[in-house]
Amino acid sequence: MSDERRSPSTGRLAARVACYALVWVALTAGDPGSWVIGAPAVLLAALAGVGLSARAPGVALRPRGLVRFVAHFLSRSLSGGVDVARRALDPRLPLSPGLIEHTMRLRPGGPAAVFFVDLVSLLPGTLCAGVEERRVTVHVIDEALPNADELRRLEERVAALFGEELAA
Amino acid sequence: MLELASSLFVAAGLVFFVAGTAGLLRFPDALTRLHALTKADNLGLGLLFVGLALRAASWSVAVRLLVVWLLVLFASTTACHLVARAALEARRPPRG
Repeated sequence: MSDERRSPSTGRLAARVACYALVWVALTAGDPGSWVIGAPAVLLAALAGVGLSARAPGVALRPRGLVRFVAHFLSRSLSGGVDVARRALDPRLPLSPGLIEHTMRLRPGGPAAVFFVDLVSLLPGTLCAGVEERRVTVHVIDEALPNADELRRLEERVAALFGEELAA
Repeated sequence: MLELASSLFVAAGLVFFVAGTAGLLRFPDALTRLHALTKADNLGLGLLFVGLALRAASWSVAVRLLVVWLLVLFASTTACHLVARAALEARRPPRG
């Protein structure tokens, strides 16, 4: 209890309360009666969040990185969806699957690395099939696609989003 | 105008769901099928979200739709990772 009361975690608690209260307003369209449930739920969620992340380093997203990342994500999602849809509907079923290894330059186990690995499966032609420290096993739908470039570019965008330096 | 744009987005989203299902049925193994599911559903649901948000009665409904999309993305990529890992392990010859 005592080390929960230090000022940094009070600030983090307040930030979480504000953030979750906003989510509650969005979910309930601001219905005042809903706060009977909402207020305790927001408070408990914020307490649980601060408690569970006490040992994890704080995550601060960069606004500029966020804008560029969202733009990148949306455009790559579009092209990934179109690509796989075209292959699925083509009578010849053009696939040339294989496995590649990607050496991750983000800090292994950090929030940016986890985020990156999750995203790999949503972007064109790549699917994450295993992670071991810096080595990421990626299944690709077509070995002729520029898969390594795709992964490198995504990693750079994620690093800029989290403000993390990439290892050489 | 808004109605038309909304219908176009929803229709486009449905095309990707159909394509994703075609891939699920036609692709040769678990790993390639996962490609069809994750990519086509990500985009299909995203388009559906845009189409429905355009005709949402209030901003609160639009925000809820966005949250649904993000949660589905999170669940689908996590499930995909787990299935892919299992499929890869099953493919490897057992180590002696």
